[in-house]
Amino acid sequence: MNLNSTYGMTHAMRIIESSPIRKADPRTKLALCLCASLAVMLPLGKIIFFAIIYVIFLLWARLLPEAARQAWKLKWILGVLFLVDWLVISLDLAVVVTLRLLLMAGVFAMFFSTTTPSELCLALVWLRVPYRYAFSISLSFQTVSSIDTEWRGILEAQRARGAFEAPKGWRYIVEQVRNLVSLTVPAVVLTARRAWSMTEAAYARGFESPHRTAFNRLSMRAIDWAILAGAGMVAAAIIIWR
Amino acid sequence: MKERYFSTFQLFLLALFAALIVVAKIALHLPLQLSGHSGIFWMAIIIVAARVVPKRGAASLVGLTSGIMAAFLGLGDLGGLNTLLSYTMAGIGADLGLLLLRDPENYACAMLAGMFGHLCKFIVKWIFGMAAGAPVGFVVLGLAKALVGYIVFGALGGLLGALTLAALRKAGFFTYLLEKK
Repeated sequence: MNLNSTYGMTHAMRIIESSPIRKADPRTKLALCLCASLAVMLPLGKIIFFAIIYVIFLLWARLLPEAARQAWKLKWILGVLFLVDWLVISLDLAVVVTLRLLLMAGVFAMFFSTTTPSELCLALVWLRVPYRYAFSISLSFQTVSSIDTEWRGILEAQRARGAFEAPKGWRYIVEQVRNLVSLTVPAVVLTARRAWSMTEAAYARGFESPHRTAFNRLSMRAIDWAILAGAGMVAAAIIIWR
Repeated sequence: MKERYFSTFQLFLLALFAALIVVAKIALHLPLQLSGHSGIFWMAIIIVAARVVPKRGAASLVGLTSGIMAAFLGLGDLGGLNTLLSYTMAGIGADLGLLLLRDPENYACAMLAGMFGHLCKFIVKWIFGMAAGAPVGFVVLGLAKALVGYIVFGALGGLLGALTLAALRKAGFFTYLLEKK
């Protein structure tokens, strides 16, 4: 699902609905990502084994294109680092460093591309984060589109007035930074006004009510237990294998 | 009712500041060819947030929230975890800087706090390089140029934050805020 319509931005959230782990509990995915990120500590043989298992998992979860997109962003860094490591030190180190960087970059793509902000909010509440804080995080997602529109409006208005011109180089940089105040001041004022309207609306709907009940609840399903069992078996195999 | 550390208005305001950081990061491209240039707006908004909500942890909360948002929106080159940690560290760094320097409306203090916050973000990148096992020399060489950018743009961001605060004070924004709690 492309949440472009919801968030209305150039950088839309990419939630992959076709993935089998889309329906998994966010707590399971979070645990899986945290465990997978520990794999960066593994030595060469084990990290190659883990990488193969991880790619098979991504293939099954239909998330390989997403992980590849993330890896593609790193192509130059990885390429240069691999060559320099190989030429100066050894091929083993080059492979280990490349795999570790790829894992670190891609491992949380699994969570962020299959979880919505409201599901994250539920997971945070389960993790004992106070509801007010979890709600404020989901609120920031809900308002990002309106703030984006507002921001572009300010940009156009100030350009039309001749009050803002993007810095063009390093000459007179401090003066140029001074010009940027024409963007930040209206943005901060409008943001404060919006925050106040939202506070009033939230109070009107009983935001601080002591007897609040949740509309959606998290529940572990068969797929969650299966994923956790699979991850446990892979971890056991890596620990036992010498 | 139990006294809350952040009032609901403050909490919402910080959440919206976090959204503003992400929007500014996406929508505004300054033609300055050096990594970390988006830090100008980033650090400015964090400094403003720390003054508008004058409580410890305000900047960190803005950093954490914007980090979660940026990770979901796929910003950053090194993946979601790096994005989340670097945004959060920028907020924590600014908070720590302001804990020592105190006054975000003072230009020098704001510049130093901005620089420190932006450097913390840079440190996350450095730690990621080290955690991958890359030799220290390579990491230092690769990030040396970026370090200059991070220091300069962090300081400029702090300056922009202090200038914004001065303009807001002149416009009576803080009197307006006193009515809202």
